[in-house]
Amino acid sequence: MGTTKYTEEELVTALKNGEQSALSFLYDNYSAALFGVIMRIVESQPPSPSDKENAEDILQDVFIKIWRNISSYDKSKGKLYTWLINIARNTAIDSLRAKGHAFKNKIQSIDNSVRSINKQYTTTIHPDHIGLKSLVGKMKPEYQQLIDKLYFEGYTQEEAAEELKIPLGTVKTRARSAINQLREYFKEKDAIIK
Amino acid sequence: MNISEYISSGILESYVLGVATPEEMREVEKYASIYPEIKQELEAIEMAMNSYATEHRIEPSSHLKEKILTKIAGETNNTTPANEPVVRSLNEYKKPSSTFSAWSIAASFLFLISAGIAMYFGMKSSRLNDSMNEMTKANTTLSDSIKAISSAITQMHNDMDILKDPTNKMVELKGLKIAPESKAMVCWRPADKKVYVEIEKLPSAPQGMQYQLWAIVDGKPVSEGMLTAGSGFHPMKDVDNAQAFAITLEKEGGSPTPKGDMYVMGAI
Repeated sequence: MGTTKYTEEELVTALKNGEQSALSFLYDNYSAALFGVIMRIVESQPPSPSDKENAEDILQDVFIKIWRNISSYDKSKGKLYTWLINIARNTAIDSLRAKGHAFKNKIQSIDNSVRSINKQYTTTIHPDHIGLKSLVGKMKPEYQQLIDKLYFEGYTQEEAAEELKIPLGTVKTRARSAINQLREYFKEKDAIIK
Repeated sequence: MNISEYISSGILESYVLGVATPEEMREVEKYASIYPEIKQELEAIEMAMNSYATEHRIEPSSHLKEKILTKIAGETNNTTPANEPVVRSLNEYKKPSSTFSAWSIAASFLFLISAGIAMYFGMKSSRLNDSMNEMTKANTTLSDSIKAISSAITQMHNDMDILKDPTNKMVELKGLKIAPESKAMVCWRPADKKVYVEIEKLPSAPQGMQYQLWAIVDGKPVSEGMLTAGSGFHPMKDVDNAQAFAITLEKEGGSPTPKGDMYVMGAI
């Protein structure tokens, strides 16, 4: 038990067949990444002592959703990992929104947005995020701020434009430049690891 | 289309970041299924964002794994496993015959009563013959409209049976430049390969011409058959695997390869 290894395709098939051992493998390989995404979203909101607990509850919901909905995963539309991250993001945002947090489609007050930018700054250099430290300097801070708002915090492009006080067209071109930087960065990094 | 311009527009990034509109998403999926360069670019963006997400990884508390797996195992034992969607026979919800017969009986009953009344008065006076004829006529009209309603209900039941299957892929075929208002829906069921099409709006085909449905399979159009008039979902040819569907206007009877103008298209 626990020693079975799966390719992505085998893993999906085993999950679709309802094999519990596949679920265990999925957890071992993806829970830290999904939990990181969830924590990142939870931390984008004003801090609360129960943040970690909330994030763990969300992680549980995420795995239940994955288990229930794996039959709807369609590999022609993207990688399993992308699908898992999307479930984690949506579940986290929905869960925080249900708790009354302002997300998406709600204009934050100036006070609030200042706080969330400060909060984000501290998150960015959080020592737990070891990988991210190495990213600092690779991606312009304003690029990272934009990507994080869109990817982790449920902002629409219009909302991001408004909050960052840049034109909508700039949001689109900046998102592309930012991801280009990420692609360069990960390409180099992979080359070093290999 | 200018592929490199499309790639540099930033729409693929919006798609991967999850901030594209539903329309943009359909468009990106459509183009990715047609143009390998776009698919490749999309995958590269996806990989970068996946790596970015991975950079944020944090180990959850160690006790959590057992808690979550136990909860899911308990749930699986108590309910229908996620991998076995509830399948119901097509006939289970479809009761057109009983609907129809109930209405027919009601109609016949009405007819008998009116006929009986007419006959009663007819015996008394032949002047009432006229009104009996009128009532018979009215009854026939009533009975006809009941038949029409009943067949509409049958069609709706059939459509519902097609539509409610959760494994369906509903593909919206949107109007292209030639007739932007046009619209059709394709329902493809990967499980049994069945394809149904419903025309919502298409210009009426000129004399000697007919619309033809195509499945785009690995970049090649495969004929799905000719479209006939009428509302509701119509069964077309089965297809194993398709990335998109399109409708073209062809000579009556169809063409082995699309030759006419394309009116609508939609990617899965």
